[in-house]
Amino acid sequence: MSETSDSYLFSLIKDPATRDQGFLKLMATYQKPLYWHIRRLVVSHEDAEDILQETFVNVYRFAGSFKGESRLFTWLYRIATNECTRHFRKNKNWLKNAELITDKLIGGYSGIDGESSEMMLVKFQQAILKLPEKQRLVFNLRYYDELSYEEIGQILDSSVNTLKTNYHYASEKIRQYLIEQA
Amino acid sequence: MNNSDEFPGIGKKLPYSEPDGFFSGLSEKTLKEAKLREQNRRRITILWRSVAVAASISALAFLGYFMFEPDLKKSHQIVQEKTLLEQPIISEPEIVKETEVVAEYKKVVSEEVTEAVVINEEKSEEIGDVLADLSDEELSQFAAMYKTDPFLSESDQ
Repeated sequence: MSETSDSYLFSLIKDPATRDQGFLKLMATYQKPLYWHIRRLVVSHEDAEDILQETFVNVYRFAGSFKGESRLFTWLYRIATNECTRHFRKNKNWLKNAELITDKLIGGYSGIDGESSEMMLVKFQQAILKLPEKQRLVFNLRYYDELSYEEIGQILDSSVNTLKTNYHYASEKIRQYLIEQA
Repeated sequence: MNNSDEFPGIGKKLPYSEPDGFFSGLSEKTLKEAKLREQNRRRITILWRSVAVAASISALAFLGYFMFEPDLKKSHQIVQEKTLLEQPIISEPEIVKETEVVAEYKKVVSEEVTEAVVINEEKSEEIGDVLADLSDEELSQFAAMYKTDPFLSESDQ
């Protein structure tokens, strides 16, 4: 059993004697992918940092309730996604702040030769921000994290067919936005 | 399927990155925060349990008081009724007054009776003197008159 395998980490966390050790190993393994999953949704680094901390604090608190019926990373992504959703509900202006960040980035790149690819990256993020919440979640998990629809279904508690539909509409909307902005 | 082919030239790059050194020390910092919150949660749980116990005891005492209260009301009523029964119908000062009035009345009546008796006694003494002065022939005549006088009541006769 490797030191980073889910079952090993799970056994360390469940045992009160090795709980802290298991938690540190778990964070070392998953902090980066979870950070970027959160950052892509909220855009702001400060918000992503807060949500990431909340996610792992909840993991520490509720580690005892994890039954191992799903994969460990599915459980972690689920907690992180729920924290992001809570953030969207709590902070009504989060989207305005995210758009300000991308506008600022575009402002930084405009007029600079050879930076058109960076501009495309920003516009791509702007297009994703314009999507409805569910489509944005599905698109990010499928496009950036390359998760299967079954794994996304476990995270979002949704059927595979619904997720496929969401991804299809999301892709179409992004493509349309990029054409209009070109 | 490589999803990044859907958007050529973009791939998975992002226009922003994490601050330098962000991830170093993040695990220890998060663990410290998680333990601190757990400690606070335990303190709050103990506090709420104490409050809940105190509230339960107070509620039971309150309930017990109201359960026994009807008995207290009843005994109070009994005391009131008993007091009413023991109370005299007429109060003492009134009885005293009445006695005094009766005594005075009796005094007045007895005085009048005494006067009447004295007056009657005086009158009988005067008639006796008159009769003593009459002769035997005169007394027999008065006796015959008494028998035949129509103005005298039948009872007297």
